[in-house]
Amino acid sequence: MSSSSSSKMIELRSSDGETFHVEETVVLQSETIKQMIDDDCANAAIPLPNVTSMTLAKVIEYIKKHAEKPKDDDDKKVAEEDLKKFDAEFVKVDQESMLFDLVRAANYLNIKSLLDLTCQAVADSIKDLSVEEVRKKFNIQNDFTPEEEAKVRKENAWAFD
Amino acid sequence: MLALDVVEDILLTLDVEDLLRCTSVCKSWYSLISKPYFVKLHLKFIRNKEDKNNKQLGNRRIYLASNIHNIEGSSNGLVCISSIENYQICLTNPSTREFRILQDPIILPNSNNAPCYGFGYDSFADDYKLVMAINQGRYDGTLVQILSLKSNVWKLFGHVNYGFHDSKPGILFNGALYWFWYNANDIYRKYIMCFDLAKEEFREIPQPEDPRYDVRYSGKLGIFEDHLCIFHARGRPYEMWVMKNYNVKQSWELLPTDWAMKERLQCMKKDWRLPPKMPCYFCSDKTLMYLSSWGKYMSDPIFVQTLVSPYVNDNERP
Repeated sequence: MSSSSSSKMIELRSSDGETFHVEETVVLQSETIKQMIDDDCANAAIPLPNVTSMTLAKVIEYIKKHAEKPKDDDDKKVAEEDLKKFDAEFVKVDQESMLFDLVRAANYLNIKSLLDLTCQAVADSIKDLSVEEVRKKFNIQNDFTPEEEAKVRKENAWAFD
Repeated sequence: MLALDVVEDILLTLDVEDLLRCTSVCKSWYSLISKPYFVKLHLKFIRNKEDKNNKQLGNRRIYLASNIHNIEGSSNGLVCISSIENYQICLTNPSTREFRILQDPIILPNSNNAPCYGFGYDSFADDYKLVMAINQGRYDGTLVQILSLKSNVWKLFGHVNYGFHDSKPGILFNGALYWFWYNANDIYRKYIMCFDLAKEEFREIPQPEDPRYDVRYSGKLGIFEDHLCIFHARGRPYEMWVMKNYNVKQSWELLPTDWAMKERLQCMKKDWRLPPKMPCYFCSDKTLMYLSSWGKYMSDPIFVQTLVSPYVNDNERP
């Protein structure tokens, strides 16, 4: 048996049954998976019933990039810039539903930096939208009665100008 | 649909105006955004974001173009405004347009005994406090009263053996208020008086001990890049002293003239604007006034946009 712990691979299984092999050091960015490994529940493939293979592939792309370690200080600055660019590109997804899937996955897997990044991206996309557009985007049913909604809008009327 | 805790993470990053609009999306969003803990979390988020670009924060100063009203301080998005005609004091959040007329103090100021104010947040008691000093006469010091916003009650702090020549409001910094006052026994010297909002006690802050330092006439207190500073608004050359280490006499540093000048210009350069729809304040007689982002001196209060309500206790809301 290999004694090298740094190259230990962890197997993840998505909701649609696809398996992914990721280095343990990379996958530890997920607090949820870290907990499972600490609890010794990671001997077989870890099932992730809330994450589809498409989303999981994106998440793995993200944590792999964020696991790269710069060699020295000069390299560190370059790496930071590089990471910023990567993050900016990463949230530019073709389908909006993917962004929401990533938010859900980051929340479920408890990857703080990915959650912050995707939440900010969603927030940026709803700036200056009308209430109706926000509802549509989040797939939310308006549960106010017309009277209630008129009252709430009146409270902050100026924000609707 | 996203879980509400994730929605919370998303909403936290929004500006006040977007948040106010989002209250009408649905009932659960309305109640989330209205909750005091969300307001606090949002404030914390704004603060963290601002900390990352502190230089920019330093430029966010507000100013009120009015002959009869003064800004007496700003903390966590709340702005305290007083009328010099009838001494009425109002607390407003220009971002949410809430405003509240504050209680009259126990001892009322008058034209012979003008007040001097200071306003800030006491993180220890999680309360906002308004300090009001009234000159008792040239050699008699001042009478100090304090309003706690939580209790909405003024209390008499007592007599302090310091007085003020002008009514410049206290500079809020590090949980304390700072004024240039004089000692009743030595009225020609300026002292930096500090009032700790949590401990509720006055103390003196050391000034530069340097032959180049002369603060008798035009020196003012302010905040510069997260340090207390003394600057001369008038006169040349433009001079600025910065206290690099808090309350350490030896740490006062005179900034090189050209550099201080550059920073001052930087401060006046408006890379910050209040949102065009926001800058309104409704006082009791329903006059509309405009706060502006033209604060240009280190002594003008630093402003952030928050959801914090002037009504700290929900049941007091009109």
